[in-house]
Amino acid sequence: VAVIELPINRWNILIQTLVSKVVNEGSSEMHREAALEAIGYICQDIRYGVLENQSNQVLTAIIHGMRKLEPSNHVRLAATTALHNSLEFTKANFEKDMERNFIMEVVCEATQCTDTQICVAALQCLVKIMTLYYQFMEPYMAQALFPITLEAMKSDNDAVALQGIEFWSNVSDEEIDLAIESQEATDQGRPPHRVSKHYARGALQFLTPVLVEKLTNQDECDDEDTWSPAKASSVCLMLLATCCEDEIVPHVLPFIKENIESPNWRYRDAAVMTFGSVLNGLETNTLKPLVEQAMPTLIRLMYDSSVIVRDTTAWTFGRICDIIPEAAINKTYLQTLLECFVKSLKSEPRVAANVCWAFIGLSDAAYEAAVTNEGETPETYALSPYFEFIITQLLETTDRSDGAQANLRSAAYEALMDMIKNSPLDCYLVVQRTTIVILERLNQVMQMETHINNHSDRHQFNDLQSLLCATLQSVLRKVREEDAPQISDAIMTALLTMFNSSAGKSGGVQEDAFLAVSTLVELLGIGFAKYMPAFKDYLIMGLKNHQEYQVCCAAVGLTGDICRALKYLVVPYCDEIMSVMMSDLAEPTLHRNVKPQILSAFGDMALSIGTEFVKYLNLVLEMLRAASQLQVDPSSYDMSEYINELRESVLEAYTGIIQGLKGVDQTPNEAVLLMESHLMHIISFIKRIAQEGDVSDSMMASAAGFIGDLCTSFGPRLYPLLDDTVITQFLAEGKRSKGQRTKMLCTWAAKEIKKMNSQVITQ
Amino acid sequence: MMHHKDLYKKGVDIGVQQQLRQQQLLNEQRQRRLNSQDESRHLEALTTEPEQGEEQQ
Repeated sequence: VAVIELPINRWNILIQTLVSKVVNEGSSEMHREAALEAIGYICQDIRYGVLENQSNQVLTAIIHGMRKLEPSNHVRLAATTALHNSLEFTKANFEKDMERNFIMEVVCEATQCTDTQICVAALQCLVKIMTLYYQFMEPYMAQALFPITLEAMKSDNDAVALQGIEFWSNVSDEEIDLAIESQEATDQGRPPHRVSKHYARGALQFLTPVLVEKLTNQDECDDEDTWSPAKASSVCLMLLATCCEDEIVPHVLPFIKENIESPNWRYRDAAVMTFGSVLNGLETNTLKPLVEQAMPTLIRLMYDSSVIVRDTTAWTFGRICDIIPEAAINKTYLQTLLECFVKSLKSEPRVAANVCWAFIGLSDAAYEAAVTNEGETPETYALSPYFEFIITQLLETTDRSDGAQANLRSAAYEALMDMIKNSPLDCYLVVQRTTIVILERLNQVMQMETHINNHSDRHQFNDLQSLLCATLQSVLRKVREEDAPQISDAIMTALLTMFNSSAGKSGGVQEDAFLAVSTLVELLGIGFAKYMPAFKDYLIMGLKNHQEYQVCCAAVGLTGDICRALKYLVVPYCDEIMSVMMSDLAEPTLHRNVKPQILSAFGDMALSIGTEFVKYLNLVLEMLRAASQLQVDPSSYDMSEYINELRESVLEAYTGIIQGLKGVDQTPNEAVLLMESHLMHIISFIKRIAQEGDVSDSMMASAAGFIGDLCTSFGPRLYPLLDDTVITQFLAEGKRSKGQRTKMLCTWAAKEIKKMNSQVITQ
Repeated sequence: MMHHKDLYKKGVDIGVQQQLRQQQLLNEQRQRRLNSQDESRHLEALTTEPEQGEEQQ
């Protein structure tokens, strides 16, 4: 009730009443505890700012309840919990030395309480205070916070130890942010607003021995949901490494070396975990020799008798392939490593899933290393000799009966897709064969639909279909144009059957299926026309899917692709498509993100069908006028980002329309004159974009391209409208852009305006 | 308060991977649109012909 009433200035005596119940000498233990609990709940749920004026009173009651003199532990605990919930709006108190000293003294005292719950709650307060008031902590760090939290980390009580570790994870997090802020400030040539005190660096030598020791207390039955000091220590090491970079090496390396081959699995695991955790912070020059040196041991540990050790090692390999893949794609180890990975794909699902992740890193890096010309597929790469075998093994992994555990099936499909995406030319045969395998699987899976008995089976079945569609799409992207007609019938038959089945009604499946069709359209071009009679109804179904907007979005994108590919052959379908897309634009429940895509698709259709678009022209131009008049609300970042997206789509639509109506000939088709009554509005729209500033590079390119199109379509009579300093300056700025396309289009548009100028003079 | 839990032994994030893939496709779709618009502008001449101002410089 308080959370509703206090913000509207009602029940004003509430806080005063609760405070009195805490501080009045005559109040019973139960009253004090209840009042503090109430204060705690109010602080937890109330909107920021509402209690700001009463923060002194609230804090007085809380501190009163937390004092050492308070005889009841129940009251102290309620007070400490309330403090934790009120820390956000006690900024003013933390800014005053005296008050802050007093709060800190009481909190630090509470961390020493023999009652564990109070101790944990007080440590939680310290964790939060450190994040909220980092800049004020210097006087307390050496004397109080460091010794208190270090002792807490060492505690045998897990709840206490977790708070101690969390404190240092938070310090590292904060100092990582401060380092970024400081770098940004340096780049901008100004002093940073806040500076790091490098507490993590200073404490490193004391923290690391405790953390690695905690790592040796792993849970034998690893339960994903249980958070333990061992897991928290791994994360803390990761953050400390990011924060302190190479400085962490001398503090962890001796432990790793001593224990990585220990007869005790707990120590082996802790050593690998330490190694895997610190990888992200180290400089390449430090990291690469370390990883190369560790490689034979790590490969051996992949065959360890303990599944926990194997899992941690596989995760470490995942990290290596992600962070420093060049150490793995190394002639000395590559073959042994790949053999070890492939064998481990048959290991427990958690181990195999990590190996799949490692394959993603390896394939990305191997491909990147082989690319010599940006955008061109390389002839071969380091994984070529093993490619077929890896693909076969990944396909087998996706088929494992325990694939639902540890996300293994999805991870294996993701690895497969990544390997295909990053395949060089000499692996093309395998890509072709994989296309057939995926197609066969899609057909088999659809036949299984009748055997689905329960909700969980249905869920897995739908996920599998989505993954197969996504994989199909990734193989299709690699298929050569000349090979496409041989497989397209089979693919479309499978996809159409799927759209028709009940799985095809699931949003996730539909979205991936539409994206797969998009890839096929791109591959077949005009050859897709023969599938349109059968496919049209499913496309319309997608365009009408207002509930699952991602599906609608995929269908709209696909509509654009189909228009571009089919050109005039799309005309018979346009009436129905236009009518559905128009209804979509008018539909208030449809997610706003779909609407800019629809406007762009109008442009695709117009460009493809030319003068056939005339019958939709007035309606579409009115829609575009309305969309272009939406104003930016400067206070909302989301909204201004959306308006920019909408404006770019409006420009793309105008461009498609004007290009489509004008035609390809040098002399513009007369149909373009139908846009004449909109020109004033259109040009003032462009000027508004130019004047409002903060124009993205792509928006600049779209606007410039459209200006050029206007010139080539309407010629000198448009000169008075375009001869404007706003436009001239806008294009001049664009010519200085780093984006090649933007630069080119701005140059082109400026030239076209100049050309008009000379034509005006000659006339 | 244990907001660091998400960082523990985080391998490939399937959800993020899917989103990235779909986003890449949408970007490519947009790129194809822009390419086809550029195609009908006959911009090739620009890449070889320097502007007058540039010539003088």
